[in-house]
Amino acid sequence: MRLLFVGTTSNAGKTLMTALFCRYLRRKMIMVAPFKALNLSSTSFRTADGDEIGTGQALQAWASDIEPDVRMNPVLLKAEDGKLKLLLNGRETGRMPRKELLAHAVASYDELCDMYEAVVAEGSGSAAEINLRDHDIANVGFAAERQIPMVLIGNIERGGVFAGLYGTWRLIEEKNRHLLKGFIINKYYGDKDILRSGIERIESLTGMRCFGVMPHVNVRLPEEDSSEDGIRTYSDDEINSFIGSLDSILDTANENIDMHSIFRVTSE
Amino acid sequence: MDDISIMDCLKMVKCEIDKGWTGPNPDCKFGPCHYEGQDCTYCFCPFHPCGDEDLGEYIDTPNGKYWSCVYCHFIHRIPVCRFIASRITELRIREPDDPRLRGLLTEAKERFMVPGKAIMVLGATSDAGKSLITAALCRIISRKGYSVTPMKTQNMSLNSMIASDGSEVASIQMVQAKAARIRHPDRNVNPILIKPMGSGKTQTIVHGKIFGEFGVNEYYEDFIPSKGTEAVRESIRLQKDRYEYVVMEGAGSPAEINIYHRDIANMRAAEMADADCILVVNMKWGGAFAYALGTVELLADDDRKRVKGIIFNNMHGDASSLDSGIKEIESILGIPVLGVVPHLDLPMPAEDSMTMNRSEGKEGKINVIVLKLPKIANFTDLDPLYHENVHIKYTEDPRDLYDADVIIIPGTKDIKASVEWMRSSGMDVSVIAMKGKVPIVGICGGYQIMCASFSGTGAPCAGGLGLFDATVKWTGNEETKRQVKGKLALTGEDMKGYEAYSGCTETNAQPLFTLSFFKSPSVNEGSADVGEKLFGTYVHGLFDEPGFRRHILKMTGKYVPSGYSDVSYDKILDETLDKLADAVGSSIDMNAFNKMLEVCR
Repeated sequence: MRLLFVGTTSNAGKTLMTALFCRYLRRKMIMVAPFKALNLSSTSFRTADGDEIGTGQALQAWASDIEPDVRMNPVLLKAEDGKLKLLLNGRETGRMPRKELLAHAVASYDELCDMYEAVVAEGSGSAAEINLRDHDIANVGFAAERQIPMVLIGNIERGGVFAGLYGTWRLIEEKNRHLLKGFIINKYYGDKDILRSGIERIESLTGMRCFGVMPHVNVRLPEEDSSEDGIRTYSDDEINSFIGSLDSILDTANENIDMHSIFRVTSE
Repeated sequence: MDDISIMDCLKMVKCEIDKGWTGPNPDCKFGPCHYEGQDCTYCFCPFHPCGDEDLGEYIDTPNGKYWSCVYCHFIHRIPVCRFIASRITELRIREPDDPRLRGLLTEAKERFMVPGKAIMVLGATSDAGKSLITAALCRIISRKGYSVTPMKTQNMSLNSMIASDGSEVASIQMVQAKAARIRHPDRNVNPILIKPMGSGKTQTIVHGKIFGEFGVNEYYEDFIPSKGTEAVRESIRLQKDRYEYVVMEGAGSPAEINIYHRDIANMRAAEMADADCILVVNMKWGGAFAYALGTVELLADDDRKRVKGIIFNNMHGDASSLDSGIKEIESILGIPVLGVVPHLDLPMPAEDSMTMNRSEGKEGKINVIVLKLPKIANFTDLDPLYHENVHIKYTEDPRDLYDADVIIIPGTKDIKASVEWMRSSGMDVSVIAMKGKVPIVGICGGYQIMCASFSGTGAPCAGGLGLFDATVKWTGNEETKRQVKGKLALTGEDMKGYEAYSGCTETNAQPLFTLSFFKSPSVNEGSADVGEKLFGTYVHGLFDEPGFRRHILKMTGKYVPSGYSDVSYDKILDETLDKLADAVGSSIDMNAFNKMLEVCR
């Protein structure tokens, strides 16, 4: 089972949704690993092997009851002192053409797919940065390489979510649109019935189906603050409390998102 | 100007008739009376009182009915003045009582009374930057010598101000009006203002007066289709009659297709005003191309035709990296991208988020702690402080008070909840512990909270903190809403601001301000206990003039004058708006924008 969560914007809730879906599969006794081809961050996590990966993938790994592994985040762009440093497979490296980076990312992904029954991947930023299409290794550009089904997440907090969902779908090249199986509206306050007519319209315009409307949950992923070298460490207590809150959010997710359908559609 | 008799007026009109066309008078010490660039030939209108209800209205004054045309700009438009002056010469009219004068008004109206044109700034999301783009466009159009007004048909905001006519409108529209350089913005800049209440309902203010409280369904099913639409339609008509351009601001996203039919703030308002629209998209969160495209394509067919340009806003980094994306969007939509506005680091007024929390680092700065009360309101009062050597922090944590240099108890829509919150969080004890140590300033609701007891039928609860041994009395739902000016009682320095409150404070404390009113005795306002460093007032905008601002900051012993310490906030804001207009103007394709203005006309 393979799946890529992409977003209409950054901060759409991809990281949490990926962790939740990993947790969902894990509870179904499916061996699952998280994956994010490209991370852009000022903070990272050092794996047991000494490799730096994004903190999100470490948290998602724990949500999957496995140890973080460098293959879960092969490319990391780390902002340090106003400069960007490129890490490939957890180690600093010089500039590299997009094609090579993509090949490395796909290789890591393939290895995970061989090792686990399911791999749940997370895209990066918005899936429709059309000016950067030629540089994309994390979103549709990646999904196309391995024909990975995608679910689009739109954040409704600031409004305009229907425009964001429709516009993203519309700007994804036609040949790849079939990979987009559906969408989730995230961070909603209020009465879901009000959204219904809008959701139906988007479904009929795009052929994507709505997998659910996730209410706003108060969660702070323990990833923000970091030590001086930008390496984040986690105590067992922190990890346990994160898993605890993830379990309770998963209950909310199960009530509001058709997780089973996502599982079914992306397993085909 | 206070005591000019009718005879004097006629003499003035006679002078004006003799002089002929004189044009704008930028040197007039009273000017501009209506808007920057106005024609002052007929400072005293030769048609007054014209009785034409398109132009003015009879108002009640202590001396009986009076024809008020403070909002009429017609006689101050350059082409109108030129025309009237030339006709006066042609007809050899020499006296103000010449009956032929009246006919000239009719003639001028027929020729020049063309409704102004509307431009609407839409946003792909909330927080897209609509308000500031609207302000910038107002200033840009005003600089071209046109009369222009901002307008937002429906604004949900906790920050309101009182306009010249005593109406309560959203404060950001007052800022935009300043950008448009109009002197007397009135209720029509924001015909519907809604304020979230503690109860889950919203207080709805129509044309500046409280109309009622509604739940979501009542609001959309009952209010909007009837009174709401009517109010919006009337304001649009009036604004278009008075101004050459009306720059309207939308609300949230116009493409909320689930509530499209009941949204009065975006495309329906654009349709009523026959506005051309510009869509603003914030680049900050990514996905801007998708939001731009999605927003336009989800509009109804007729509405989509109104969108004449797109602005990408808040760009960090090199805009040329967007070129290929911009080309693709333009070719899909057939709508030009007018420009990419960079991220601007301008100290612009807070709208609803306390986003002016931008003063970084507090080393050596005066630490101003603002209590983050439930339903905090009118925190725009603090905007002038951002230009001083001050660090401002909004807090819910009583411990923050101990290293405060100044404590502010701001206004709130919910006194009861605020007092309860202070008691349960221990904030009350902490504030009282700081009494006498640092200045504590209560504004409006915050002033009431400083008082000991509340009485009367409308009292929210038994009393406040007791910092002032005073009683606040509520009788019915009477509200005081007005602009005020006067002096700081302690020093005699100038002050001005506005009031919007209910209740009346009975106190023996020294007054903070003395307010002066037209043809009425001056009135003591607020409370000041200099020894205990306690200050309370109903006046919003109390820090706008430098007097009180400086007075409070000096009391901290840490005062270091900034370049703005002696400058009125009006002036500071005016400069900031100029910078904003410069930045926006240089980022957008002005040829294309000018064409939009021409096509509009």
